[in-house]
Amino acid sequence: MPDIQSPLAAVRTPGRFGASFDAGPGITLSDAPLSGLVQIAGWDGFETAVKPALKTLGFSDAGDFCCSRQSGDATLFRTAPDRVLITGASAGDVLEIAGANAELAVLDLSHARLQINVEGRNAEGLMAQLAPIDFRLNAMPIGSFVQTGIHHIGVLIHRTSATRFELMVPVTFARGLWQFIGLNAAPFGYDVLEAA
Amino acid sequence: MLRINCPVCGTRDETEFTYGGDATVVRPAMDETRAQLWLDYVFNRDNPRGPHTEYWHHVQGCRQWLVMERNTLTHEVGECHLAKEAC
Ligand SMILES: [Zn+2]
Repeated sequence: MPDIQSPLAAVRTPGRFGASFDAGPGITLSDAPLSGLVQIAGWDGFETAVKPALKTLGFSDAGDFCCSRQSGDATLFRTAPDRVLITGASAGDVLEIAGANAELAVLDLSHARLQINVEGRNAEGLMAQLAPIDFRLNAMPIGSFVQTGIHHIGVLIHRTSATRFELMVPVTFARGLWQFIGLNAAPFGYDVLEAA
Repeated sequence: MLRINCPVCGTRDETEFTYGGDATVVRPAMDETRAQLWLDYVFNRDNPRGPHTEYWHHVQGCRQWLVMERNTLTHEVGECHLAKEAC
C-alpha cells in the first residue's frame, strides 16, 4: 500500500513564527494523518441498524450531537440524526459488519481528512477568530465537538483539553486552511511542529 | 445576522446555513396537466411582509434540511424543525 502523504508536506515549515512574548508562543500548530475514519449513514431506524456495528467497538449506542464517545482507540461522533463518524485505528473494524447491512451506507474516509491540532494558552482565542462558535470552556467543555465552517470550509472541531482543539478538515482544502490558521495565529505567536 | 436554532447543532450563525426557498410550496400531482399550476409551482412565489415558512440547509453543520419560521419584516426567527419530520 502506498504511504499516505500529508497534504501539508510542501507548506508546513517547522519553527517559531508571529509575535514574540516573554511567556513564549501562545499557540502550537501540528498535523497528523487519521489512523482511521469511517462514516456510517442511514435512514429511519438508523440507531437500531447501526447498533451491532458500534457494539463491535464497544459503543453501547450512537451517542449524541454534542459530545464524542471514547472506546479503546476509537472515537465516535454523532454528526447527524442518521449519521456517525468513527476515528481511530480500530474504526475500520466496523466496515464489514456495517457494510453487510443494506440499511446502512458505509464510507472509509481515512484518506479524505487531515487532523490539524491547535494547542496552547491562546487556543480558545485563536479558535474564536476562526469560527462563529463560543469556544469558552463552559460553553464548549472537554469532549464536546462542533461541525462548523472555517474560511467557508466545513470542518469538525473536537475539544480534547482546556487548551487543545483537534480539527478534522478535508485534505483537498487542508493547505488553504493551514495557511489561514497560521495567519490568524500570528498575533499570538506560534510554533509549528515537525510532521507526526 | 440571523441566529438559527438547529434542532441538531443548537443555535448557530446564519453563515453556516444556505436558504432553500419557500417551504409551503407543494408540487402538483405528476399527472397534473394544467400549465398554470406548474407555472405557479416552478416560478411564482409570494413575497410576504411578515411571517414566512422557509427551508434552510445547515450545509456547514449537520447538513440537515430544516423548516423555519422567519419574519421577513423583523428577521425574528421562530420555530425550527427537521424537514423530514412532520410539523
Ligand atoms: Zn445543524
